[in-house]
Amino acid sequence: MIRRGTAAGTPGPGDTRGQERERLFRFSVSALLRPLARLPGVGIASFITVGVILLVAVIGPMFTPYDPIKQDFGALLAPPSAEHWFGTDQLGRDVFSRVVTGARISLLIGVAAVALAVTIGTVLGLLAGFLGGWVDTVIMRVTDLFLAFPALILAMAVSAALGPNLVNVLIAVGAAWWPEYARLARSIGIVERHVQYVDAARGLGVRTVPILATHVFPAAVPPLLVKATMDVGIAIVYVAGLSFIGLGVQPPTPEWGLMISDGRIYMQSAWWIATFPSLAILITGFTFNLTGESLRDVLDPRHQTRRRGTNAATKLI
Amino acid sequence: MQQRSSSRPRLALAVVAAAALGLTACTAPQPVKPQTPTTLTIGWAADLLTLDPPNESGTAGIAVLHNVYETLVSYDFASGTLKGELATKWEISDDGRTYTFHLAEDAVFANGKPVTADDVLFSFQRVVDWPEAIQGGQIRPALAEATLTALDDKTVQITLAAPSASFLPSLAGTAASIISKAQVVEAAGENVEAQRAWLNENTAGSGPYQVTEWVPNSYITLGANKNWWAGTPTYESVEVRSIQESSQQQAALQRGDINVAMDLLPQQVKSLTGDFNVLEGIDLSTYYLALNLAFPPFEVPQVREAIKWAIDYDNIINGLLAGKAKRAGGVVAEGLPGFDASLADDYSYDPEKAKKLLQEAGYANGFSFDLYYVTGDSVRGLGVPLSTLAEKIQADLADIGITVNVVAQDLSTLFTSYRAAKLPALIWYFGSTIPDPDQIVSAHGDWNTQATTRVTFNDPTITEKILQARVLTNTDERAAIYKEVGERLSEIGPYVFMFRPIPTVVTTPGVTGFTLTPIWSFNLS
Repeated sequence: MIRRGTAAGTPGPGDTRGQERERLFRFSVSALLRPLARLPGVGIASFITVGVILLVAVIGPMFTPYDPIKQDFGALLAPPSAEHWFGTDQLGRDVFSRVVTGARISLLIGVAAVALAVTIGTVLGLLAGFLGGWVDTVIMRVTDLFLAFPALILAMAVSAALGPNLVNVLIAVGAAWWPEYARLARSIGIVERHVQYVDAARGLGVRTVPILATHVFPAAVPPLLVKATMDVGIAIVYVAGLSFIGLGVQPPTPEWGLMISDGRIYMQSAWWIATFPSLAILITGFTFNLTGESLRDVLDPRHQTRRRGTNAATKLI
Repeated sequence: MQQRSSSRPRLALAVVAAAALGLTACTAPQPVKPQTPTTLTIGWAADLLTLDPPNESGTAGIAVLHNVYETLVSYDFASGTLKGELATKWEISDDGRTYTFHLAEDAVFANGKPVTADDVLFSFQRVVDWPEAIQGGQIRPALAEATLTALDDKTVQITLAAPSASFLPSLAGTAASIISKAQVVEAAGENVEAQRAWLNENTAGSGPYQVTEWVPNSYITLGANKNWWAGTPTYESVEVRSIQESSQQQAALQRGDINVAMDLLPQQVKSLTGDFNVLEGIDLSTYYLALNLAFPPFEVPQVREAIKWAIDYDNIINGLLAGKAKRAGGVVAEGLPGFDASLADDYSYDPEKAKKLLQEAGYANGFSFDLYYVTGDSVRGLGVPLSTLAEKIQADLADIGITVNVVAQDLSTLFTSYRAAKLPALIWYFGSTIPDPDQIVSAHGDWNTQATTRVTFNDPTITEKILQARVLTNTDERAAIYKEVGERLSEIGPYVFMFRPIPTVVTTPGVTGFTLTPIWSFNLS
């Protein structure tokens, strides 16, 4: 009956749709990644890769060979060479420097957007689940309202309304995403409402907010962390998508989606402009998803139990 | 070997086979002359909105209508003179108000009926009665106050309220297309709304081709007009296919799916391998940066001048556009009266001078502004995205301390704000749709037109001169005034004129009867 850390909430109105949506949303990536994440060493490898990407994002821009926005009309559309490892783009900018600098921007927005979604979603979700009653009803109906919209369309609408720039695209993606976290947090809130240590704390006269903060929230951390890690990858793809259609980060900021958008018309004459940022998005998105899956195996008690059980059974035989 | 065979059926078979394969040249070892296809397929990133001449202002629409309909007069860009089309000759009264047109005796519509004075009156009256039709604005003001009479079946007399120098050239625009009244009435009856609905999707012209099928945003097919009075159309049909991406156009061209690619990038044209013909045209449209004087500090003349000195025109033209553009100094393009080549030398790239001017104006530390451009738009005929151009301008102005935030907006949103004078600055172009400078000069200087209110530029001297030129019938005097206007616009105007693209079109070998022309994109024959 009590399931900790399930991605879906406890049954309630509109819940099937939420589950269905979530299932569809991550089907393609997750179905492929789950078996892959189980392979020995993949977890460690993905953690290391994420570490490398983070390192590139933090210190990479200090070591780029060129200024990523410096235009050089003496070297327009130059192919990859020893001078320009990834070639130059239509304005003579060094693609390697732009990809490296773009890592910082993409990660920053990806992490910040997910952090925003997690913060809003967790607070509202825990409150709804833990308090129940009309608070639950109001918050969940608002959540339903947001979930009724396709997330990317909502993000596009928010970005277009606020005006496309770095901060607004972050808000747009965060605004589109928080309902999923609200649902997840709510399910934990409901579960935690009646566990013994919460009852005990309540009995001792601890107020609701401290109970939520010190007793309920820690229980929500593992599943939220797993989901958030996977979502950072998807958020980076989202931001790149918004920038690609002109609703995200604005030029001359070296953002991967923007670089692909710029480079796609040169695909036949200068393939390197769009190819390298595409690879960067692919690797980053893939790695974060893989890390999330591996993290789930470590943190999710259900998965661990099942695995241990299987192992035990094997040993017994 | 087959030809040596004595058996008659075999010989016949061989001849048929040879003919079918087009191997007629196999006996004489000469290079095979590329064959003209029966269907000409054109790949273009532009779409049509309507087929009704007075209501279509898009590039593709104008090109199609130009080849479907004919007008009373036409314009020869090589000599810069008007020539007759449906009208073989015309007389202008001494007061410059009465025009008498004599229609060609043998001119017939595609349905075989002769082109009569009645058709001319019908076509022009439609424009007058339809104020919402955008393109009709070229001729409506003059026609609305004119008296139109049919002296006989082949003679039309138009008496204007006041002399107008641009009236005759404006009759060469697609808005003044002559439509077959009989064909329209037969198909749609007398009701005006029904006629508009029919003409929105069908054509009733006298040009070399008529529209046979149109699937909006996909393709439009033109069939040869068997009754064309001025010659024989080269192709049985012409298909204009909507292909938005230049890379797709290149692929289609190399596969042989299309014969003409309209929007290849200069880099793509250079890298094309194989036997292709490259046509270069002339475009009358001028690309510029418009600065709105309602947004400080653009009201300060030195600031505007500083920006004019700060743009690296040479690298834009020779770098970004790969040399496929000409430096433009003013709005009037080469080939039209009033063109002034020397304006192009007024400003060059001089960031030091620009900085000094900014200092004089009191903006030594620079300032910042939003520069708008149309999302996804590219330079006409060259395919280079405006976003790239915007980034170049951004970098150039950053060098003199001006921070530019580039903002991409979709065309309708951007144009609505531009019309309401709510944009501080934008990358824009303006192309003539008639072979006369009045249209384009007025749109950039005459305070009475809506166009100048968009940048809040009100210069009484310029306005007065344009009004003065409009009623002059002496071309040289007019040209002189337009040159003065051009100089003053260049000096104090809100426009930073940049370049005029040289459209580059690639065709497969054997394509004939397809020539590039300014205003109407291409002529088919």
